[in-house]
Amino acid sequence: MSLLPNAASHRLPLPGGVRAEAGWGFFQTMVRAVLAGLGMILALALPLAAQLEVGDNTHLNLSGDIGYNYTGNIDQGMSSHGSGLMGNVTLTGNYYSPKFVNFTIHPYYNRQQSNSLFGALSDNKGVTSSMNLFSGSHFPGSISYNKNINGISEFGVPASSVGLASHGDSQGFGVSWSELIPDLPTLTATYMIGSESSSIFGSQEESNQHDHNLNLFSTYELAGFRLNGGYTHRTVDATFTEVLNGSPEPVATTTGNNNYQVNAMHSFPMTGTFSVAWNRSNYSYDYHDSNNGHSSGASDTLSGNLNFRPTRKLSLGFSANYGDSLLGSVPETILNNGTPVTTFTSAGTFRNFQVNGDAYYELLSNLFLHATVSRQEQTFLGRSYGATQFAGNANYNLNHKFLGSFSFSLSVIDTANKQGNTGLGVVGNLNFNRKIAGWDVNANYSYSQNVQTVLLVYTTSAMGWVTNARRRIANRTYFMAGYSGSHSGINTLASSLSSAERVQSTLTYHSYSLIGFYSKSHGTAAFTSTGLVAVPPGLPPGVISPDALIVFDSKAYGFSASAMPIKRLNISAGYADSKGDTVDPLLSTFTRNRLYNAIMQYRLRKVYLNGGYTQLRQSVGAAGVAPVKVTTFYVGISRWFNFF
Amino acid sequence: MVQLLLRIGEKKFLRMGTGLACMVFLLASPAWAAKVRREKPEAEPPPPDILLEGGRKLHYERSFSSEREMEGKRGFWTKLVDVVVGEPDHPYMVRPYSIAVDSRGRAIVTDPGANGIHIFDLEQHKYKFIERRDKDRDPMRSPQCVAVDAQDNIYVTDSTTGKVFVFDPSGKFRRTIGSLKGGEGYFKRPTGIAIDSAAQKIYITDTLRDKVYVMDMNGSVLQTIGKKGTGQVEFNLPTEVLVRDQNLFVVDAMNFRVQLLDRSGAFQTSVGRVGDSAGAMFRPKGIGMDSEGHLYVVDGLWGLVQVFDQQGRLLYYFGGTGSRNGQFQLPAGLFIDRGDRIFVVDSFNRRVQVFRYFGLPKQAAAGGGR
Repeated sequence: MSLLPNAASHRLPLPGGVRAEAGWGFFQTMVRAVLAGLGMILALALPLAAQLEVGDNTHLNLSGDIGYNYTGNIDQGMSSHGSGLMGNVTLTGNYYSPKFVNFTIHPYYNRQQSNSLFGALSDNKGVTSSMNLFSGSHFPGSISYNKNINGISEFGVPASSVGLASHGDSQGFGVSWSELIPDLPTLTATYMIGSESSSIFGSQEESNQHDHNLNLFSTYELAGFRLNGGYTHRTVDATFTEVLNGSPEPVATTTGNNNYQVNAMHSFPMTGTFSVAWNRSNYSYDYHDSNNGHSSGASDTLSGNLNFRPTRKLSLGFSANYGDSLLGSVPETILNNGTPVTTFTSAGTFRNFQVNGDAYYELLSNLFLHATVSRQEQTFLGRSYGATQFAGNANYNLNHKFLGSFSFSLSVIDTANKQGNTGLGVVGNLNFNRKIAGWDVNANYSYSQNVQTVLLVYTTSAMGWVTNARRRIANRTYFMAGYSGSHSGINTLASSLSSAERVQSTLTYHSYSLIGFYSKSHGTAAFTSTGLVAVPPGLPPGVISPDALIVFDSKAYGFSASAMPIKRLNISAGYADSKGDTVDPLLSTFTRNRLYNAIMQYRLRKVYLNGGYTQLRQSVGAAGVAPVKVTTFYVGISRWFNFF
Repeated sequence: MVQLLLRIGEKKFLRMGTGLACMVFLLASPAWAAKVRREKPEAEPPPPDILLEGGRKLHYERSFSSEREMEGKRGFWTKLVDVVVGEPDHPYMVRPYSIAVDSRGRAIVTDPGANGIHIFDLEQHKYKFIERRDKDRDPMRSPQCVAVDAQDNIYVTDSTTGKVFVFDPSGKFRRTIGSLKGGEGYFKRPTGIAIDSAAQKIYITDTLRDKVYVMDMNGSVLQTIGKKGTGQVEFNLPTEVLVRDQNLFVVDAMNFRVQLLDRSGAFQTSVGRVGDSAGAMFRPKGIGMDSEGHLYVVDGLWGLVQVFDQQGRLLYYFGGTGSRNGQFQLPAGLFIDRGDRIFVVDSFNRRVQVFRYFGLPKQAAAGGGR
C-alpha cells in the first residue's frame, strides 16, 4: 500500500465554466464574472412576490440566495479556475393544509462554506428535504432525504483543536410513522438508511459506511402506570484503512445489534415515584483484514427504583440492579458510533447484583449532605466478589455580592469486603468565581482517587481543571485567558494514561479581536471511519484488545483575527498548525496539518459580497510522506430573494 | 436570426450571458406558468367605533410596528435601488412594553426584547432607535417604562441595572439617576415612572421594595411612599405610576387594584378588585387618563382596556384577545395624549394600536354631561 498522495485523487472539481490548466487571466475573468453576476441579479430582481398557488390546494414558498462566483485553486502545482452560479434556496409548501402534507426542500449548489474551519476547499452541493404527513392527526408521519456531494468534514483527533481535513459524499433516507390514538397504546416506528464515503486530504484511501436503523417505541398508561417499550435494531457495514496505524489492508467490519427495553413507572406517596425496567441487548461484530475476527454477546439488566421525600429537607431513594452480563454491554457503550472494537468477553459469566440506599438532607440553605450505602455482588472470570460501600458527600454553596460565588463538594467512599477494608476513595469538586483586582476569575477543579469503575476489583483516579480570567483594559477593550486540562489514570499503568491541556487567550478591542490557542493531548483511542475516538477513562484493562488501540499524541496551535471595520463588513483570517503521532504495536505514523484561512463578507441590504482564501498543507502516513498542498480562493456576489 | 444566434455562440462572454438569461427564465418561469394569485391581500377592516352615552365614541385609528410605517413616499430611484439590492432592513419592535408621547407627537416605546427604545415620529415620518447595551459605562439592559418631561427629555427605567436613564429629545444620552459609586443601581427593580414638570418631581415605583420614590430632577430622594401590604398606601409589587392634576395613581399589581393618592402620599381611593368579572383586574398594567378624567387600565391577561370613572365604576371596556385590529395579546403600556389619542402597546403582537376618544362637545359637557 502506498501512502504517497495522489494529486489526481483529491483535485477539487470546480463549477462549470472556464477551465484552464495554466495561466490565470485573473482580471479579465473576474470582470466577466462580476458583470455576469450583476446582470443575473438585476434580471432576477423581477418582482415575483406573494405566495404561489398551484391548483387550488398547493401552496409554495421559495426563497434563498442566488449568486455568481469566481473560484480558483492550485492543487499540487496544477492550477485551474472557473466561474459559475451558486445557490442556496429553500422551497417550503403544503398541500390542502400544513396539517395534511407539508414539505421543505433545501438544495444548495457551490455553497461557500464561510462558516467552516476549512473554508471552501470543495464545491459542495447537495439537497436536504423532509415531508410531514397528517401532522395534525392521530397518524402523523414523516419522510426525509438528504444528499451531500463533496462536503468537507473533519477527521477527529481526540482533545485536539484541529482535526484532519477530509472530504466525501453522504446520503440518507428516513421514514417515520406514529399511531397516537388517545387511551390506546401509542406506537412510533422509524426506519433510516444512510451511507457515506470520505477520504482524508493527503491520503488516497477511502472510508465507506452504510447503516440501517429500525426503531419501534410504544407508550401506554394503565391504572396509573406509565409503560414504555421499545426495540432498536442497527446494522453498520464499514470499510476503511487505518491510515494512522499503517494497517496494510483495508478493514471491513459488520456490526449488528438489537436492543429491547420495557419499563414501568408509578407515582408514590410523599411526592415519590417507583419504577422497574428491563433491558436486553445483543450484538455481533465481524472484523476482516488479514485476519478474521468475530465476537458477539448479550446482556440483560433488570432494575428497580424507589424515591420519595418524607419531609421538605429529606429525600430518600432505594434501587436494585441485576445484570447477567456485566462486560457484555461494555463494547456497546465504549464507542457508540457504529464501529466497535474487539473485546475480551467470553471468559465465563459476568453477573452483577447491586442494592443502593440514598439519603439527601438539606442541613442549611447552602449546605447539603448525601449518604449512600451500597451492597454489590459480582461474578466474573470464575470468581465471586462482594463488597459493601459507604459514601458520604457534603456540598456547600456560597453566593455573595462582593465575595463572589464559591461551591465545594467532597465525597468519601469506603469499600469493605470479606477480607476487610479495601481502601478509601475520594471525589472532590471546587468551583470558584470572584473578581480580584479587576480580574473576573473563574476556576473549577475536580479530583477523584480510587474511584471504582464497572468492576469491583478495579479503581481509577483522575483530575480536571478549567480556569478563566477576564479583565477590562480600557473602553470596550478586554483581555481573556484560559487554561484547561484533564489527566486520567493517575496511578495506573502508563499505557492507559490520557491527558489533555489547552491554553487560549483573546484580546478584544471594540469590534476587533485576536485569538490564540495551544493544545496538546495524549491517550489511547480506537480508529473508526470518522476519526479517532478516545477510549473512556476508567475502563478496566483487558476489556478492549490492545490490538484495537492506538496510542496518540497531538499538538496544535493557531491564532486568528476578526474585525468588523465598518457596519456589515466582516473580515477574519487565521492560521492553525497541528501535528500528531500515532503508535500501534507495529508502526508509527505522523500527521501534519497547516491551514491558512481568510474570509470576507459584506452585506448591502439583500446583496452579499463574499470572498475567501484557504490553503491547506496536510500529510498523513509514515514519516517522510510528501504533503498534499491545496490552495483555493473565491470571490462572488449573491442576492437573497423571496421568489414566491 | 440564426446567424445572430451563431454569432452569439462564437463569443465566450456572450455565450455565458445567454446561458444566464436562460437560467433566469427557467428560474422565473414556474411563477408565470403556474396559477399565480397576485392580488394584494385586502387590508383588514378597522373595528367598528364603540358608541357611548351622550354621543361619545371610541374610534380605532391605526397601528404601527416598525420603521417601515414611518416611511414617506418613495421616489423612483429609491424604488429602483430597492428592486436591485432589496429593501433595507426595517427595525421592528420585539417585545414592546411601555409608551409615552412627547409634545411633538413622537411615540417613544421601550422594548426590553430589543434592549432599546424606539422613537416613532408619526408626523415627520421619522424613526430612531436608542440603545446602550454594549456600552462599557452605564449599559442599559432592560428598558422598562418611559416618561417625558416638559422639555421632551426622555426618562427610562431599567429594571435590570436599577437605574433611570435620561436622554435628550434627540436621543443623546445625558445622565443616569440612581447610579451608585461603583456602577451599582440604587433601585432594586425600578419599573413605573412619571414626571411632574411643574413641581420638578419624578415618581418611580420600585417593584421589589413595594415603594414609590419621589425624587427631584437631580435624583435626590425627597420622599418614599408605601410599604408592603394589602391596606391603604400599602403595595404588593407596584408597577406603573401616573401623575395627573393633584393625584398620584399607582398600579398595585398583586393587590389587583389601582390606588389613588394625593401628592403627599395620602390615600384617596382605590379602583379594582381581584376576580374574573367585569371591573375586576387580573394583571393590571399600563394606566392613563383622558380629558374627561376617565381612568384607563390595561389588563394584560384578558387583553382588555377597562375604563373607570373617578369613583371606580366601570364605564366600558374595549379590546379582546386576538391579533386583529382592535384586539390585543398581552397588552402592556398605555398613554393618552392631549388630543385624547389612546396608544396601547400590544406586546405579543409587536405593535402599538392607536385609538381616539371623542368626548362630549364642550357646550354639552358644560350643560350637564351624560
